[in-house]
Amino acid sequence: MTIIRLTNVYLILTILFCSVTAFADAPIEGTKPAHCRVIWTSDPATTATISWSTAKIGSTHSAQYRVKGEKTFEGVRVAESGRFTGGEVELYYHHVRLTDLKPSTAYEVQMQSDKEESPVYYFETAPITDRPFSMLHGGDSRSDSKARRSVNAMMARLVDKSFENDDEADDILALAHGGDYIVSGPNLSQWTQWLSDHELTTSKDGRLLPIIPARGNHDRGKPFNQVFGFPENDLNYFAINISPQVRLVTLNSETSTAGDQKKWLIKELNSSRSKNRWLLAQYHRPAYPAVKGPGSALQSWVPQFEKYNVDLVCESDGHTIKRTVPIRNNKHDETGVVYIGEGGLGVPQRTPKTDRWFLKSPGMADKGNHVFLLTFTPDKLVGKCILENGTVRDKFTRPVR
Amino acid sequence: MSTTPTETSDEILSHWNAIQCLRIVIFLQCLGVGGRYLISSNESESDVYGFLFFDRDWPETIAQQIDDWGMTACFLAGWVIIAGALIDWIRLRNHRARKTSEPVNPSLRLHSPLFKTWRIIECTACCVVAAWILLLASAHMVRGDIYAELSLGEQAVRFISPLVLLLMLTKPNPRRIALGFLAIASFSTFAVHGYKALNCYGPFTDLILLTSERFALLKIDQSTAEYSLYIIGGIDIVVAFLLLSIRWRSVAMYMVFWGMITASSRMTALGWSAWPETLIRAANWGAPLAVLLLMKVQTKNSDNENK
Repeated sequence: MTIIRLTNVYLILTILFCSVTAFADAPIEGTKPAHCRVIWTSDPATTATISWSTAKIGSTHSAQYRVKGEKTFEGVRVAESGRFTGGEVELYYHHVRLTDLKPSTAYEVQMQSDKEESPVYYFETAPITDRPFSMLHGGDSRSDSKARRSVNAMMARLVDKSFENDDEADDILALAHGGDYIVSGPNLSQWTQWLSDHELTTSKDGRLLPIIPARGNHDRGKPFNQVFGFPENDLNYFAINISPQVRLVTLNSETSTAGDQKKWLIKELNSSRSKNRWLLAQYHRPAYPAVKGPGSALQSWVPQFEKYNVDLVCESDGHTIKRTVPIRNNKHDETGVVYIGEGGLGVPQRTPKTDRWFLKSPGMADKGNHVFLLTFTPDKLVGKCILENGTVRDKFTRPVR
Repeated sequence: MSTTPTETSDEILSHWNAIQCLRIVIFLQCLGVGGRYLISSNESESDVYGFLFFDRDWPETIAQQIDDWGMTACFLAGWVIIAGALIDWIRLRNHRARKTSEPVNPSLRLHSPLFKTWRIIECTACCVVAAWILLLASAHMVRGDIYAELSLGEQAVRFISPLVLLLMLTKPNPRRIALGFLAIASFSTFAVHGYKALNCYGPFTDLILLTSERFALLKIDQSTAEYSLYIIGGIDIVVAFLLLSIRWRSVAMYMVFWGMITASSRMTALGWSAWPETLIRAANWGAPLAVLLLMKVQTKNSDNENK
């Protein structure tokens, strides 16, 4: 009897362990859905792109979904599918665009490719009520898979913990990624590894962390749009409201910054500023860099950020940690714009140039794999730089303008 | 080293002018390298550092040190080269003051051990500049950025120019070879830039747009800037092939002019702080200028032969 009990315990533990790790970087073979993820590039309160990959082309690919807790799936959507452009590696992408979703609602999704099914995941749509919440920002996952996986697992723990209490403000709704997911954009092997590692951001109970992607300088070529469900030749700049009062503008520093994108940005900021308590921007190449020279965003976008009083700008590319002083007209000005960054989701970290004026106290710069946790409340925006080991390296607050 | 008896005074002068031209251009380029990587307020590390640290997992301090040494060596080599130009200019002036009729290329008449030693130092400086710039281009090529695979071609003028200078300082009459190498390097640089322009490379579009904004010139929108790039890119490729095949002087003159415009555009678009980017690109116009100076004599020789 003792042996039977021990065996049962062993089996139960094994099943539990497998069900936990089933959400974490499932191997990719045949038409078994893998690399399951949810992407936000348009209204996240009512839409979402569910994406996954298969190693073989298969014939039918779809995703079924239901409100979490319901017994039957309310809908099935056929996926847009294609082969990733990447030479020797055979990998297929599938995107299902869910629309007419209810805000602030948890939806379970299950991807199906031929007769293979993924585990049942879930994600939560963005709210349409003015509630406090949090989101993560980071960039530059590339180069070191071990560090990347560690940071991804750390993010999953943060997400888990954020929903364990009744405090809505710490609920982490999404990850804004500032670009440079891999080293060489056309290299599909590297994307495959990134997609597998990204699955580690899925929490223990199957919650998918929506990703809001920006393009980095290493993300050249076609796979970027294919990974994130953008149309081919998409310009990769867009803006979404994560809540009715929080708008995130994602820009593309890897194309012309001074032409149509700048015109779009001016229109966007002009219409968004008065309607949103918090207005943020993210893009890859910094205007106020901690290690490199400034990108053309300094000339093209910074004047607009200052004109429209953007609250916070999230940058990447430098592989370091920084938070500038508030800047206006290229000077420290408490009414100015703060720039944070610069990419620590796995890439080896560089020593910042702390003698640059915009990094001196009350600004800061350091190095270490990290993610920024941004919490939006009615009266303030709180930012924390959380290192890979969970410690808080920096904390700052931005008041409502 | 001495001039060959068959060289005319025009040939000697053009040889010397081309040497001086290359010395000035390489000096400006090295100033730009120093500015970008050592001196300016926006100084940063190069792709050599990036390759060693990110791609080869070398310790950051060692990668940084190698980068700094390379940049410093290149920067100092530039000063050695411009000192060589000054020394030769003084020697030529002194020679002319003696009012002899003998044509002379002061770069090649080295009577004293001091000048010979200096020449060795200057040749070493040329090698340092060529090697480091080639290393920078090679490191950039493997680092995954857009169009990175074209770096060697794009920056050909930057590392070929010091090698040609080395050749001209050490050989008595290397005109054909020097002209050939400079023409190939200019072709390569213009062809790659032309290709990028034809693909409406984002930063090129921004150079046009930001310049027009800054100087309140004609209001140019993105589609006009991109249309201009199609034309510019096409011309770049055509002149590149023309220089290589037919070697018209007017083509070289256009390349000098356009190289200066595009190098300056970094400052007109991004402000004075972008001065290192302008100087680093000195060879974009300097190599075609050296070609022009060397072609001048070839054209005269052809005319004389035809008479």
